[in-house]
Amino acid sequence: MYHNGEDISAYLDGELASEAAAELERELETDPYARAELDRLRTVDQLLGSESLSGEEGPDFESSRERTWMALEHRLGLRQPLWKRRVTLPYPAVAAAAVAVFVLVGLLLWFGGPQLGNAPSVAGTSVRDVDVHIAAGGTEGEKLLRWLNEQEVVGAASVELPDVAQFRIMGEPRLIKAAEFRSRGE
Amino acid sequence: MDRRAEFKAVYDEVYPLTVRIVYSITGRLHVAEELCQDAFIRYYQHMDTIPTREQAKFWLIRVSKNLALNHEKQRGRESTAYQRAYRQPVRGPESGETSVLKEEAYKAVQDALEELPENLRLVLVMREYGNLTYREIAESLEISEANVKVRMHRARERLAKVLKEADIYVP
Repeated sequence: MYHNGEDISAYLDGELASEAAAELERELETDPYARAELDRLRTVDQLLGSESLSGEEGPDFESSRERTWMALEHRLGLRQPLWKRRVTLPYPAVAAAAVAVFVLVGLLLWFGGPQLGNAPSVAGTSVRDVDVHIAAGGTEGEKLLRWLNEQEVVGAASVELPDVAQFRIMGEPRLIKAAEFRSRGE
Repeated sequence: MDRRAEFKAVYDEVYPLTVRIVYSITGRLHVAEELCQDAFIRYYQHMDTIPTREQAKFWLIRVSKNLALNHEKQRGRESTAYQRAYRQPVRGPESGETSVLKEEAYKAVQDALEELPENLRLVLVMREYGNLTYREIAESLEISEANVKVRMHRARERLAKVLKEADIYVP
């Protein structure tokens, strides 16, 4: 059977049905014209397909894919919040981080151990042994005493008044009659 | 799967195809990227009306191909000349007569490809640079597979003729 150029072209593309392809292959072995036609069309494919033919490097389509996706995310508002983003870490980095954490914890336990061992003596200290001085004003002092009372931790508290009394003028000064002042005192 | 995840899945599958096809039409990667971006934005806006991933693929190929052709038409003949100059290959480490012959062959093929009628050029580009099957090309261009087969052969015939006339060196 004679195959036309369209069949040979489809054969080059792997688009000929298997039966027809087998038949064409038999024909190619015996028919020099069919063989020449195949070579002619194959040459065109070689020229089309070989970008390296030019000596220039082809475009980096993988970088292009990433670049365009970032632009699309921006333009369409698809950027995910930080906590939803998938993070890929190289295994060596994860292993190095894990080792660093173990070493750090080990060092903390080693040097921090004796200090932790003193904890019982601190816990055994009585509140009575602690002498705390707190400077507080009028209303703040009262609030502090009330709070301490509610905590039921402090057994006794002494209030130390200042050596020199300090008075603050409240409100605006006003002139009043002497009789009125006396009656207030009574 | 949410809308964003579905969009990303389609993007990862189809972008490598579309960018190759558009690049082979425009000859410039940054232009191809911009046109593909526009195509994918349109797809994102219409993705509810395109139910399957396969349909999305053909839809995107069709839209990006049309965008590329429109872009080239707008640029016109003057810019085509610029494009040719832009695509002048950079000489690699190989030098001498062989390299010059290869460069000439490459340029002749690109020129011949640009001279092909649009209907022939597209099937060739989709096959050679998009690596699409005849069925996929037929779906993308909304023509029959038999028609794709005919166009592929005619495109190869024309290129072979041009290359023969130009007495192109085949490495």
